[in-house]
Amino acid sequence: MPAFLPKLSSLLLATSLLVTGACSSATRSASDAGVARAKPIHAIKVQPRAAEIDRAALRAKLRERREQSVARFLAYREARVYPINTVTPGLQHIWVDELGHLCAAATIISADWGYDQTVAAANGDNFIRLADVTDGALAEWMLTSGLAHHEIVAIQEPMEGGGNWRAMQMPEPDPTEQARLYAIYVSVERQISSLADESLELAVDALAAHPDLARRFLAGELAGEGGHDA
Amino acid sequence: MSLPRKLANLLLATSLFAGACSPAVTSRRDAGPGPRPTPIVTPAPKLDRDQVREALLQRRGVVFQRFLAYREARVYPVNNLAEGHAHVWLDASGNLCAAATLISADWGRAASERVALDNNFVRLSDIQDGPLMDWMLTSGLTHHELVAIQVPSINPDGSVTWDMPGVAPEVPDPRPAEIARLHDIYIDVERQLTSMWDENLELATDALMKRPDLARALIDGDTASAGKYGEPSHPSVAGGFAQPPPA
Repeated sequence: MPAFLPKLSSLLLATSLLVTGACSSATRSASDAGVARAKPIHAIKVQPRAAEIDRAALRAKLRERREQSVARFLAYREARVYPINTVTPGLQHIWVDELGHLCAAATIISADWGYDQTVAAANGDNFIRLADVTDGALAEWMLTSGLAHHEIVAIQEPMEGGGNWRAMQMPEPDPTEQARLYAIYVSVERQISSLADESLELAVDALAAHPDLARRFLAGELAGEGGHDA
Repeated sequence: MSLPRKLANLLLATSLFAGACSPAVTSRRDAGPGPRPTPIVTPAPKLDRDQVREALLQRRGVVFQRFLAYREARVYPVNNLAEGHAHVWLDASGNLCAAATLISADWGRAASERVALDNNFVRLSDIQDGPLMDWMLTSGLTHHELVAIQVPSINPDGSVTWDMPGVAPEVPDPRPAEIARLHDIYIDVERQLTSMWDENLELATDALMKRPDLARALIDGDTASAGKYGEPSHPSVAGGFAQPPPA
């Protein structure tokens, strides 16, 4: 038997014990954690990361906007000057009527954009339904209004047309129709106020899904401002 | 040390060295020495959002039709109980409100009436848990849509005493105007529901996905139970049945 054999044997035993402990420990840790093997540090490319949206700040700012929007809606309701549907019998959304009266939603928007730009925002569709609007300046305004989409849709009540009131020489809007609209606006206020927190969360979720817009909003820019030619 | 012993040491060392770096050995050790024991609790299968959405879509269609039928029947609760606006779940004549009527088609009229025993002025906007919340989550409608449907009745100055003894015959019946007001609002609620149909169905699905137990039951065809309101021991509410308004 060669003389070096015992020494070689001991060396191999010690090495194997050392490697066993080291390798098994590392393997178990990675396995237990359920993570993939990390990339070598030189292989990691550092990407510039956009700043996270501060949800609490977004919520607080949307709450302020919400209060403002609701106050505008209530002022509109109490003024009792609503568009008149002279276009068609039945219910019809009228963005602005022949006398220049804006609907509820348009009135709230006009406080941000001004009258002319609000009229222009309908892009020639005077029967525009905000329920159908999912992108563009109007959608961005809705996202930054503090109200949820369904709340704005509730506010944008269509007008009942009783035919051509001017041909019938009615000097004033139909009081029955005005009362009907007023009663519905009262009900809409109830809807908005009774689920204020829940709807605000939906509004935050919706705006947070548009990070660029949310950042501009947090920076004090109102959506769509100046986006329409009068 | 004898030769066999030295050889044995050498072989042991070699095998340990080889085994240390073998992933197969590591895997076996992690898996345990024998077959895995049968888990006591079987993990629930992953909830399929598309299935939940489809089940809610079916429910939404059913509940929506119930709402339209209620609206067109024009038999609504009369608020002769509280001044101003009040949500009246069940009035003195036995008329259920819109939400109570929708629920009664699932729970039965008696169980829906029992809600009034707890609180006849219950506001669905305040409900966050319990059988009513579970029903809302499995209705296919969103919370805010059901709140829109539950329109309060008006008793402007507290003087409305219709259907009660002692009403002077010269007092005009306020019911037709109130019924017309409510009908107009229900027409608008229909508009809100239909114009946001898909978007609100998504919100309803999101809400139910947070309650996997209810979602799985709905997929299996079970709607939320009446819970305590379905208990036969719960005292029933005495009352008449809904009557149509005078012509």
